[in-house]
Amino acid sequence: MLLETPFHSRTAPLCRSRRWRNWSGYAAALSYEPGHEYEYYAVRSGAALFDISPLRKYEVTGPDAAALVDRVVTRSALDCPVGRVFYTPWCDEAGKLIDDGTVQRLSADTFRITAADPCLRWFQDCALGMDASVRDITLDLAALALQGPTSRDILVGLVTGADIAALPYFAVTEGHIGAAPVTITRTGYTGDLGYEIWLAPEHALAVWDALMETGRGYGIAPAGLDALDVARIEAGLLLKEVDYVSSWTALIESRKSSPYEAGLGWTVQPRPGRDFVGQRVLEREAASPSRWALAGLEADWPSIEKRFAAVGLPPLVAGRASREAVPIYAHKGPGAGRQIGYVTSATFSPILKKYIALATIRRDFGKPGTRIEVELTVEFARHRVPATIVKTPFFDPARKRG
Amino acid sequence: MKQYDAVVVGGGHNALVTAARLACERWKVLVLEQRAVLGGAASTAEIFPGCAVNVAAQDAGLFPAGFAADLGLDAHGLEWIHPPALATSLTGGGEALTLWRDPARTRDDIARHSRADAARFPDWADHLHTMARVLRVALDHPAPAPHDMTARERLRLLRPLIRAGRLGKRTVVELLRVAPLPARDLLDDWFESDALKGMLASTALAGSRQGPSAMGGALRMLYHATGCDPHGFRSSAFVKGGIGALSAALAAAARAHGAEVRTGTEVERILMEDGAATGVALAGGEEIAARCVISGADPRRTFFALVGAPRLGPEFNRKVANIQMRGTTAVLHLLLDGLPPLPDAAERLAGHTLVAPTLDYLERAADDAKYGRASARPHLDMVMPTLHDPALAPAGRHLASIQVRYAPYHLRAGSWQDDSTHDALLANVLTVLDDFLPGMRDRIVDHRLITPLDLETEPCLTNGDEYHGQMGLDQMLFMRPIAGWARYATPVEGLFLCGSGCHPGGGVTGGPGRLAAGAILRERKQVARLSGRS
Repeated sequence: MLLETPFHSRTAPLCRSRRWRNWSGYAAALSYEPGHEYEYYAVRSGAALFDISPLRKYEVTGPDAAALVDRVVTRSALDCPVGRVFYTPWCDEAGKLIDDGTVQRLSADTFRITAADPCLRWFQDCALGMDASVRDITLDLAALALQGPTSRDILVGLVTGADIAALPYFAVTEGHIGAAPVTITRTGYTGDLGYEIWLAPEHALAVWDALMETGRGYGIAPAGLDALDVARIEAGLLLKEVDYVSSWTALIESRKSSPYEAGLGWTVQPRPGRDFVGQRVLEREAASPSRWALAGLEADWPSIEKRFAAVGLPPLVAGRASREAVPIYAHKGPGAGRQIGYVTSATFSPILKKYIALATIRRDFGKPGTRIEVELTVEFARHRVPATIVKTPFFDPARKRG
Repeated sequence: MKQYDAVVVGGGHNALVTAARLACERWKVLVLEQRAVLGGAASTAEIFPGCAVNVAAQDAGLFPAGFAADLGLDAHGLEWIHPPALATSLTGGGEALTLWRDPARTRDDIARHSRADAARFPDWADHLHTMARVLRVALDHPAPAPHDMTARERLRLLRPLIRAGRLGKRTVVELLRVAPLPARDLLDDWFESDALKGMLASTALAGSRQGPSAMGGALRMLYHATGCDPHGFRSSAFVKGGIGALSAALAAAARAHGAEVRTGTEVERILMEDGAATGVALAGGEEIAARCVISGADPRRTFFALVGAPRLGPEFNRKVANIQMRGTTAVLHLLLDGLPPLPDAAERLAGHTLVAPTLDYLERAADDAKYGRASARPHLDMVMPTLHDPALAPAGRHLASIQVRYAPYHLRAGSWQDDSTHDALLANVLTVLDDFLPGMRDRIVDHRLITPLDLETEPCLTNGDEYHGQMGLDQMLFMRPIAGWARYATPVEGLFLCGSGCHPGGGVTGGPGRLAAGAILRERKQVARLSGRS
């Protein structure tokens, strides 16, 4: 049976759709209402409250904590000041992605790392010979994400002991909601203004109630994974096992990805004297880039409409984000029609009114503006519709950082 | 700063072999030994005043005499001793069964226990000899690399395969059948006498915590017979002046070719730059630069203490951390004022003297170790070197060095630092001696018990494992010390291993040192060729 998060007694009655999904062994709502549109719009124009407790959480402490985090992740942890958070992937010895998450630096020698899947053994293996300890605190820490333009206003009125209004993007602070001590990070998986709230499970219900109560005047809505999936694609954020395959689960070598291949080259930060896991291989790759890259693409909507119209249908694109891999072909010029990559995540973006996708594509086709073709299945027949490579994030409001 | 071609960390016998081989190739070699004496686990020290005592290893029967001759060790004072008695098993009540180098005498001795066994023994000796010769082929060559079967690799395998094939396809197949067997199953196939079976099975116990009923014991029996003498027992040979004389001869050979050997010099860590070894730092702070660093220390000590785990990959570290290193042996050294009252003692006790009366006796000793206790009734393997080399002790005195099995390094209760643990093991040994060699206790003038913890402190054996890693099917050939790294190179460029933790394995064999030297020479030639081209 799936486990229940500390918020379950609140989320379960709200989940009128009865649509639950297994998220790391926990029951997580896909959407609370029968459809996810309302919840999506809460992210973009109000505030959406997500229960993200199933995330894996680790605490790293000890004199060598910073050195250990710096050894594990590709970004330079030593450069992260206390009170800041950074997003980073981590790699195996061959420089292939294992997982990704955020790292909070709570003090000079205390870090918290989130991960999609269990990584305790790996972190502990990396800690061998170092004066640092790694603890799995997944069960000790309930977590909520409050995402959307009004999220700041809700928290400002609710949180005591911390200046939420002044909390910069990717910063962390401690405060209270009611009597409950909470850690608040200005982070999220939606690419919007938003916060993540970390707290002891015994305060879970009180904090949920306080947020829902205060949020009522700000358009708050509990939101599920369907809405989150659309928002994260708009934000150009990767999903493990969808946009890249972890080197631990890949069945064959070619399925593994390096950070460069997954569009995370900017997170690879070698430094003189630094030696993170996979560094040497990644330095070689930086010098002679891989042929694969991550790209965002926008499909040509009139062409999609035309294909459907030809069989007498309105455009039937999935209401939810799609995780189905779809081939991409070269459009024109030498080698036209040759497969050059594949879509990994796709969705109709309600706010952009565009059909957008994240794709793994041959590097030489990955420049923004490049015209390509994407496969589209209409009435059991395969077609190709034109699409254009665009920069990600697809949707990037100023309020995210502002 | 003086630049060496190679710095060798540790002065154990394998390290000295590698040093001597490289020095022969005109390499500028420096050997650094922490202790005052050379030889590591194969050293001789003055444990009792005026006596030369073999601290841990006693027997060099696996060190190929031909190889010693190639290195010119006889010119440096190496003399082999082969006493007429190979081993004497004490079967209780002052009774004994002796295996001799003379097959006729062996036959007579066994016949007193079982006529059938006496009749079968020549076939057994022949069988063991043939199998050991096939295994020997595998041990003489670098371990195969089944995960990397390039054309070149296949070519490299050809020679040993042809050599082994010459010994007969049936023998090779029989080896594959026999190697994983428990010693018990193999011996039950052949013999009926408990005394004989216990005695032969004792050779399966060294290098493992497992008893005679555990899988893979037959492989260890064969391994210990790869000195390839046709006597039906483990290969056995002693060195005049103590086993340390072998190490001294190796050091002399290395020095004769220009190598420097420094004792009393502790290497604190291996220096690295850009993931490559550049030299070593000594405990005093001195740094010594070298084109490559070769470690005779065990793999775990090399990687975790000398290199440092944070400088290696986590996947690699996990494998190193999981190498089974389990010291199981204590050594009790005795100074005696005479021989125990056994008929023909001087002759019978000149080889190995064993307390291994039955397979079940050995099994129970191993059971204790399995549950983290020293054996209540331990298996003993005693060598009295003064019987074949009287100069080791003052006139009128005898030495006995007893390997006591099992004395597990990891105890469930107590520790080897406690006097009570120490005294309890000593009492167990003396009680067993009373039962099997009555009168021995009255001859003891002085004693010294060396525990697995002592072996960790003094010759620096992780967990007191004198084999640098257990000798089992899962830790031999291409899996020694860990799968994928069985060719002496390490993830650190320019750092190599040459100790017992490498293929072919532990014991005084010289094998790892010899093969490491070959691998290092090949690798460096390749590096030179590549850098010459660019």
